[in-house]
Amino acid sequence: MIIFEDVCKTFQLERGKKVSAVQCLSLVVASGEVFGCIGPNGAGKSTTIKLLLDLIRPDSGTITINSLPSRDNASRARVGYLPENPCQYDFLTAHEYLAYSGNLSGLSSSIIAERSSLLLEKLKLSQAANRRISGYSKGMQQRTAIAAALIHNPDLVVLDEPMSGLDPLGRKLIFDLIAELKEQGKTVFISSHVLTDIERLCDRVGIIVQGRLCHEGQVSDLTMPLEELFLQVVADTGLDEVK
Amino acid sequence: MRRLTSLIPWFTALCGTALYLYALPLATVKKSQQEQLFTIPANFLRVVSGQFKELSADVSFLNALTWLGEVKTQPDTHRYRPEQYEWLHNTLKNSVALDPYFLDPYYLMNSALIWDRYKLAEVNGLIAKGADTRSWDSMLAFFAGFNYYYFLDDNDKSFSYLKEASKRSGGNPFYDSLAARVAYKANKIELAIMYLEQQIHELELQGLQNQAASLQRRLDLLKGIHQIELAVESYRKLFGKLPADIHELVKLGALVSIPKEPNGGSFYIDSSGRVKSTRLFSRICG
Amino acid sequence: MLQAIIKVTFLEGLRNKAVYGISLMAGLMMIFTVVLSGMIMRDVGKVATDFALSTATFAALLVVLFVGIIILARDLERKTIYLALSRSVPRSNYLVARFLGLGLLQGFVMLLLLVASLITLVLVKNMYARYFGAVSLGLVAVAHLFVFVQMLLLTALSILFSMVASSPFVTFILTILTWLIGSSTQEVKLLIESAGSDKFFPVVKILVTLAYYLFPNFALFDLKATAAHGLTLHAGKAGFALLYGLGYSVAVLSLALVLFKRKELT
Repeated sequence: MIIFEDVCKTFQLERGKKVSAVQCLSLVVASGEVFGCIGPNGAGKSTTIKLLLDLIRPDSGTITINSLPSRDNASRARVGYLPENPCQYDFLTAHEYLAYSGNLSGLSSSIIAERSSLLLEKLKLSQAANRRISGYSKGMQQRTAIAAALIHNPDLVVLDEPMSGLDPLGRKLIFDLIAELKEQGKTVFISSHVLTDIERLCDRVGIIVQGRLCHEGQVSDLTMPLEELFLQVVADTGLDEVK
Repeated sequence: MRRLTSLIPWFTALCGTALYLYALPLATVKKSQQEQLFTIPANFLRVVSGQFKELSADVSFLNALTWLGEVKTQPDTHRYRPEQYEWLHNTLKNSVALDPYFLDPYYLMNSALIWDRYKLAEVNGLIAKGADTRSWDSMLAFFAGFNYYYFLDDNDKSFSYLKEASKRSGGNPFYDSLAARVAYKANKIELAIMYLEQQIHELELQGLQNQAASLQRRLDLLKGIHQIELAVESYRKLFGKLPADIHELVKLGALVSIPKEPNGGSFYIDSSGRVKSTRLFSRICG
Repeated sequence: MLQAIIKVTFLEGLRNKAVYGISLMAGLMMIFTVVLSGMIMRDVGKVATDFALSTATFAALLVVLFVGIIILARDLERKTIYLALSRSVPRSNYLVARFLGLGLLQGFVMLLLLVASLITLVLVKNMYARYFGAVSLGLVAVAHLFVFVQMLLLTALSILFSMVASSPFVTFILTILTWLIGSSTQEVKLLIESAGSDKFFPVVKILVTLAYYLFPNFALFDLKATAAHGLTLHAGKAGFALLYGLGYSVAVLSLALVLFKRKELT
């Protein structure tokens, strides 16, 4: 269970300017829930995720993961994270990278071998597994990053734009993978632009605009297609782009 | 990242500048004919060299050595200008200031500057300091001791350095006999002949025939002078005056024949009765 | 977990083209040393030792500047750091493991340089046995160890600078300046002390003394003359230098840790 309570974050820009990235965000994601976080570019989705993972710190408010504060390293023991536009250590092979990822979570080498061959197989990377990542296509790199995020079979999976850079086949692979995670009862936090995927995968969605959570609700309760709702919510906030 | 890669040419430029700093004395050597001799002050070199002082000392020494190498190819009659001596002196002085343990610059000072009687007291002072620094080395103590006697008339210092050379060499009898001669103020030329014979012997042992040959000429010169001076002395004892010229000595049988001047000049007796060569006594040579 | 980060750091260094470039340069310099030895009159061994040790120092410095700094900068810039920090890896462990990984890389490079130096010197010794002088091969090895400790300290400093600097460029400049100044402060201090009181303004003296205590004294780790002339290395002085280097590294790294714990990884 993830709980955001009144979380605010402002960034200092040059010449004393400030920008409010997240404003008074309160949000609860229940265990076993698939939560979709959508919003225009620069709305604060990635910032929210980085706050959750303690990569950056809130100015005020608290965040807890399974009742552990996010500032506690132990809160992330069972978390898998796919960053936006992920870069791996491209001097490693996919095998080596997954082993590194597994070691970070303290997995034994036999479990790493088992899990990585499983994930590489699922993500259709087995054939390239012993080549260096630097030679991979963008889609392959994205899939490797997802495999690395899942190697330790995390309970909470945080995916920032998981579909970016993937061709339709790759997207299908990831889509099935997330569906499988959902079946296994994992908690999944997705931020994405691809609203159709969110609509089909998620239990609940939150729409973030200009650092504020403007709408939150069950996907099953939607009375109109998500895209329409999204445009309407954004228009209500008075954001110029939509008008 | 891109900015870091763009640093590589910048760093190359920095290395280039550093190289240029060290190569500057070398470059000026090439221009030495146009009177552009330049050395960097030793203290400045010590500071900018940081952890590469020894390397800097080596480069300074090599500059001096290459310059001398070029000079050697010029005709014998060529005489070096004072500023050229000055440059050589400063370059070698820099080298030992950067690494006071470095033997070669002292060795070069002794062979290139001392025998040309350039700033004798200062240069031999450096060699003596080198002998103190290199507390295990008998060669520099021997050089310093000999120079103090032969060039600087300082018998006490000469004696103590020669004794030190003997001690460091584990009691080499050659150093002991030199020290003994210094003690009873023996003839300087005799001492110099002993010194040169020992040096030539050592160079020949090491297979350095060229250097040995150049010292051999110096030795032949001294032997010639010594031989004539002995004759002049007996002439004076006999007649109570100086001979008119060397031929008079041969005519009287005091000399069997006139010794050959090894550098192609000829000997003469000056007004004070000292024997000299019409050629320069010495030129910079190894 | 620590081993995994150390291993990745070490591998990144080894698979970096810069390391090959630096090794090639060092190899060429060693060959040049053998050629150059023929030009020296008496102290052949000394000059060869100078060149070998100077090459080793310079190559080790390049590894810190062009491999160490780049590895850290790239990690932050390309966000590869997120993988470890989004798990339960404490930030302090991450930074220490990174430092140890870079230390391992530096140690490996130093070992290669030591082998190259020894091969060069043994070759020169066989070619010019009479003129090899008092060079002590044992001290040459110790000198390499001291260069290693010195570079560990410089690596720790570069990590500290990368925590405060706005870009890798600034880290690079700060690191190289610290090394250059730290290599010369002892010399400048001695120079000013020996010059007599009237030659320099009091302000200069105060500035030099300040710089002497503010910057690490890298001259302590320079054993070139000691090894080249086979001088006595006092155990007390050597022990002090090693403790100084390691203690200073730990202090600098602790400061870097405090900053890293507070750093926002946007």
